[in-house]
Formats: sequence, structure tokens, C-alpha cells
Amino acid sequence: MTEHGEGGPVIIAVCGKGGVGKTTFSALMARVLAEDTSARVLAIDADPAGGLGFSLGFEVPRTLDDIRLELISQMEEGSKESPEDVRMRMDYRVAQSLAERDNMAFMSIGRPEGEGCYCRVNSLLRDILTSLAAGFDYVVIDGEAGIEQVNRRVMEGVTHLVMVSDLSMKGLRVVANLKEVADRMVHYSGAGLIVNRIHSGESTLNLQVPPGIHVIGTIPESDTLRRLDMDGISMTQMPEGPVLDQVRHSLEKLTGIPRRSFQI
Amino acid sequence: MELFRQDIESIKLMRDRWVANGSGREMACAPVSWPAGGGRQVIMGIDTGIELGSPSAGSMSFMMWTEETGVVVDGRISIAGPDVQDETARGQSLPLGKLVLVEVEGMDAHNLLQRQREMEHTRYAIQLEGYSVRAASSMFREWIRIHRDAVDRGFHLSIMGSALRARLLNLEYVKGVELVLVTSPDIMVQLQPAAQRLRAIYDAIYEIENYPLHDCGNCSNEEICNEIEAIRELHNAAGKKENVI
Repeated sequence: MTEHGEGGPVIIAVCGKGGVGKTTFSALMARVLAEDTSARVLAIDADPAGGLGFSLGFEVPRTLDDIRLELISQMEEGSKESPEDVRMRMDYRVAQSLAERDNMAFMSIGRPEGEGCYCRVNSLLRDILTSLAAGFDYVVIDGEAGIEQVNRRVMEGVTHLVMVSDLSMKGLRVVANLKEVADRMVHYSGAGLIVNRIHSGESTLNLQVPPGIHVIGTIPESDTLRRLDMDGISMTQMPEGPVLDQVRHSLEKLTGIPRRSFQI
Repeated sequence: MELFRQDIESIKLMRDRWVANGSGREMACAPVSWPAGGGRQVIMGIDTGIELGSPSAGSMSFMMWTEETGVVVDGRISIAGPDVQDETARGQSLPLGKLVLVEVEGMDAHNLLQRQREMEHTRYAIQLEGYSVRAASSMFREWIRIHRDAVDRGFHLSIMGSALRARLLNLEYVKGVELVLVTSPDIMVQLQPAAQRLRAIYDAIYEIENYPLHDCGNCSNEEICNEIEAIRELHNAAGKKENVI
């Protein structure tokens, strides 16, 4: 751990309605956080659609769900490995499933659970992920939809919640629901709304932001971003400009960590 | 009771050969004076000074015990291949063969499984600053990363060996610990036949632990069970215990 995450890592969960740009924003945020070479960043793709690895240019060797299924299958076969041995084997497998590049690591959660209740398995993997996350300064989780899925499938202990929406009422309604659930379920240090894909001429002045939610950033529609996305180029190649400026600005507002920390 | 007599002998013969032909060297465990740290701490590739036993480089990690005195040379560590401070090891990802030879006393069919497990678990408990280990005893694998700062501060494998020995000696039935470490890819190949046999022994032990009443006429471990009397003793004891319950 470095000085970035005093007392533990900053764990940011990014949630919102499907199609509003959560994954792209998560990738940009991970990229910006990793610009500080002294920081260690873990990006986690918890969206079953699984686009974060692609957006960050990572190959996924193995998903957490693959590990989960391996464990379940062994349990069903009647393995009586000691709990400590099971834990260590899973810990080994999780480390094996981490992809790394420079100061950023990446992990994919994979598909949601299938039939059956395997609470012990899920709880074990959550513990292992939480313990793994403690070794990083920043953790960015591209969430499925809401914080409850992040809590159940990834880890508890999210410190910051980023809700992403476009200008649509539908997107904002989802955000209101997200916040309500999060307030009931999570003790987080900060939360904020990113309004994404604002075209020139559009304004956020009359945006009906749900009560209790603060806008921490507005991301302009960007042809460059769209082109990178269309060509399958990693967000780490996104050139400097208003989009990255806004990502840095929103990180500062969200975490209180000075903006200069997020610049090269 | 002896499960690993032949295996310890063959490992020691290999070790002697490596030392004699200069591909291996031996040293004594030094008292551990390395600061403690989190054993499963995360050391990213970018921070790694040397990596041993990664899934791509390969690893095999086995623990063998004997009750015979004078077989295990307590405190001796033998290394075939580069140690952490060797120039050729810096920044490398090397394979890891880790063979822990333990002298024990009072081992019998009733306490063996429990003791075996206790000894295996010591590897999870090594806490050294700048040293991260991911070990899966059921897969016989161990994956170590040593932080570049620890390498710069002089970490070497006998520090890890000494810490492991100290842990094992905390168990009252452990009387001596010797380590044979292999980090050379060429020499790792020579360990394969021994590893195959050790896997067979461990598979038989796990089978007995999990299925104490299984049918001997229909068992994949028949060969090793016929060869090593102690495995049969263990099976009989486990079967009796299960029947009593």
C-alpha cells in the first residue's frame, strides 16, 4: 500500500442502467488512477457482459466464475479438503486469474451464478477478493447494475459509489433506485453521479437529478472515444482532452484526493 | 511408520549428485532476522524482483517425513539453481521445486492424517516482508514472488527456509527439517519421476481420508498401496474408525 489509500484501498463501484457508458467510464477511471505510477490499481469486471477487460486491453485468462464452478464441482464430488486447504487453493486460483500490466491488474468475475445456492463458496471467494483488494491502492469495479450485486458477487467494503447515467429520465430513475438501495446496504464514504454523453448544445441545468445525489462530473460526447470504442482500441490510448479532464475532476470530487494525484 | 523412505532416499541421492557435480550447493539455516510481513500480500509483477514457481514457470512442492534418525540433516538447505541474490536470477521467473524433508517421532496410523495436515499448513504461515506466497498443497504447487526492495535488501532463499524450519519445529513431534530447493529448469526435469510417485502417495492418503471404507478391489491407488505397507496400515485404521462411528 502507498499513501493513496490510507487505512485501506479506495474501492469504487461503478453502477447504472445498461448502455449508459459504465464500462467506458470505469476503464477511463482505472486508466487515470494508474497514471500515478506509484499507485497500484485493480480493475474488476463484474458486469456479465464483460467489456472492461477489452476496454483496458487485457486478455482474461480465467474468470472468478470458472474458479467458483471448479470449487462447486469438487464439493459435489465429495472432496473433504480441509477448509484451510480449500481457501489456499482458491487463493492460488484467484492469483492465477489476475492479468497484469505495469501497475494495473485486472480480474473478470464472469457470468452470474447458475442454479443452486452455494453461499459458502461465494462467501469464500468474496473473502479472498477482499483480502486481495487490500494489497492495492485503488479498486475500480464495473458493476452489473446495482450495489447489491457488487456486494453479493464481488466484495463488501465498497468505499465509493459512482452512478452513471445519460440525460434520459429512465437513466436517472435507475440512479435514484441505486442510491436508495446503496443507502440501505452500504456504508460508503462518497457517492456521486456522472452524467455521460452530453452532446454539444445539451445542458444539464434543468436535469432532474434525484434528491440527495450530487453530480460529480459531466462527460461530453466524444468522437475520439467513440472511434476508439468502434475500432476496439483500449481506453489507455485515449488522448488528453476534455473527457479525461472530466474523469480526473470527478475523481477529485468523489474521493477528495487532490486532482494533481490523478495527473502524470 | 514410514511412508516416504524410498522417496527421501532418492531425493537425497539426487541432492548429493547435484552438490558433487557443482550444480547444487548447500548452506545452513541462519536465524531469521527478517522483518515479518503478510504472507499473502500482493506483489505485482512490476514490483517483483524474482518470481519462483509461477504457473507458467512450473512448481512442485512436497513434504516428506521419516522417523528414522540421521536421515534428515536438520538445518541444511540445498539449492540447485540460482538463489535470489545471483545475477542470473534478477528479474527472472524461475521454476520452483521445494522438497521439505522432516524428521518426526511418534507417527502412527491414528495421528498421521492430522499431523500431515498440520505440517502442510506451516507453508501458509510464513510471514516475511517482501515475500508473497500462493500455495496450494492439494495441487503440490507453490508460487512465490519476492519484492525488488527485499531483493535489494539481501533476501535469499535460506531466509525463507529458516522461517519454514522454525514453524515446523514448533510442532512437538518435529525433530529436524532439511530443505532441497530447485530453481533450475534443467534440474526440475530430473525431479519429475520422484514427483509422480509422491503424487501417487498423496493421492492414496487423500483417498483414505475421504473414503475410508472404499473398495480395495476397485481402487486406482492399488499399486502404491501394495508397495507401501504404511498406506495399508493407514487404510485399515481409517476403516476401523469409520466403522466404530
